[in-house]
Amino acid sequence: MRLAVLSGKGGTGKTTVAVNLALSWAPDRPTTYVDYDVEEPNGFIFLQPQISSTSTVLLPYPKINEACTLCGKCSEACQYHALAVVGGQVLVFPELCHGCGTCGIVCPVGAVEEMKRSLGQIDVEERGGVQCIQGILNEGEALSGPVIRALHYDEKRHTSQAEQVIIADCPPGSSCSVIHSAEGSDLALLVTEPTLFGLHDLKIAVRLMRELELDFGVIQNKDDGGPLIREYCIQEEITLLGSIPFDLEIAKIYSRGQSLIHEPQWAELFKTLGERIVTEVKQRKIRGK
Amino acid sequence: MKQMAIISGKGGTGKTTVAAAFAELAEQMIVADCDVEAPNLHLVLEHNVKADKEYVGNQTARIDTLLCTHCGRCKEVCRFEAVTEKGLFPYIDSKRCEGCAACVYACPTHAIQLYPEGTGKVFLSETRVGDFAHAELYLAADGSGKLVAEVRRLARDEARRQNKSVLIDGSPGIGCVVISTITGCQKVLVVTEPSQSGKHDLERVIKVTGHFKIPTQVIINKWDINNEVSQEIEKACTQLEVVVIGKIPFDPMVPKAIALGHPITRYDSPAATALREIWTKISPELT
Repeated sequence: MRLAVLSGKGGTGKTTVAVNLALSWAPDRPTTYVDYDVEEPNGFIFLQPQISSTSTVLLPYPKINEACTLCGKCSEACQYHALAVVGGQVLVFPELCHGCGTCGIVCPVGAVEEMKRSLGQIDVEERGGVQCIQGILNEGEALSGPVIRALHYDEKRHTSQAEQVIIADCPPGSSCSVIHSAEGSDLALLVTEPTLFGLHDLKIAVRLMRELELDFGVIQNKDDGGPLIREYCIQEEITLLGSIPFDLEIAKIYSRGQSLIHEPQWAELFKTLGERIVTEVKQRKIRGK
Repeated sequence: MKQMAIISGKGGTGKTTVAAAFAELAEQMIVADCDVEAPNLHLVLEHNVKADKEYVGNQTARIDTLLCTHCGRCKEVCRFEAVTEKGLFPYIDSKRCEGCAACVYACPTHAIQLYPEGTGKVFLSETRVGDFAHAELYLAADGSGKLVAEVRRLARDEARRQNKSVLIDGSPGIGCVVISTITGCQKVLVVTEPSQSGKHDLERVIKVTGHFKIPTQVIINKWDINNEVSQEIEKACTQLEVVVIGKIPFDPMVPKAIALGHPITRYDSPAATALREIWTKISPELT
């Protein structure tokens, strides 16, 4: 079972939900937490896993060798302006290169070699029964796509058992990074908060899920008991899977970088929410068949 | 013309609350919402759309099935796993295609071409406090970084024409969208919150603004939620040689003002007072 935790708006509580669900499932079923928010990964702050392995995410970029005739085909074909023929040489701008290899395809004399540069890293670790995987984009780098693709690959490599629960903590927003982090999930958990901003961005996330034909439900964080999110869910016939109350104590535990499940009342809340989600996925599978 | 961007690293720290307050206090800046994936500033800035246009920033490859000989070369060269099958024919998944043209050049029968694709819609609106550039990314579209550049171009053109400065509300993260938001800015304000996540993300985003050599200052929002972590953040900022220009207290009036669609500075509240003080400090640099 794969679950994607999304939000549209940042800071609604994606990581809180993903981490605490993972910790609360771990004693009963093999659980893997994957942090796909490679620009600002925060899950490990709360999970504090033991480091077991780190790998570098490499992106290829071209190096032009002496066979080059300065014909300019490579710079013409490059869609990212990463190559330019200037003053008798080909200039390469690795930071603009997407590593697509087009320059190598068009070069008539085989003058394009490939070098590799580090774009980020992937850590695979373990904590209290939760297998933890995170991707980190290097500061100053623009392309998160290759790190997310590498994470997907590592997620598959490290999760073979059928009864495994995988929880993917996705980036905020509604871009291709979100789509690539969420795809292949059995259910998306849209985490929202009862503010005008929260509702507005929840609507964007809902439209995105419908476009991708991905099953989803809503989790309301910082619930103030008000009708804003509840009424929207009823109107749109969306399952409200659960709520986490607005509580300054939760905010304080969170601010210290601690998980909530050490407090009995919140442990209970996440246990119930977790069971509800597992049941929901099972029921949807039966209905789907 | 000067440009200042408000970013945060971590999401939900209060960028838009700060941006709306400054827009209202400045009364004479061109405002740009560069959080094109989850824009919120338009919800608290009453505005009328004056002009809108489609921005076409992407290209996607498509296969002409009449010319395709099923040789599979396109799938071989694509590094984005965008070539799949639909029935008997290879098919390019537009959500994965990055428009790199590798398949276009590799195809022996010239069956593949790049086609322009709409990225989103860009708007120029008027508000009580000046013009406002914003955008809407099309659903599941690629290229939010380019759309941000387009919003900034629109804001910059207006700012030049009207001899004003630009105030940018950014997005969370540190990747292409944020880089596109801050390049060429004279100043970046990072809004953070007193949590370990806020601190971690702040440190990363400061490395990014440092990488691009943009003068950076920090605002700690809801600082009194955890005074200890606020102090840790101040210490970290001192080490990174970045000034904490102000601290905003936790204030229940903030969500109430948002719910009414107003900037917080219209009310007499602790957060509004703090924001006015910060604005007094930074506004001279922007004229």
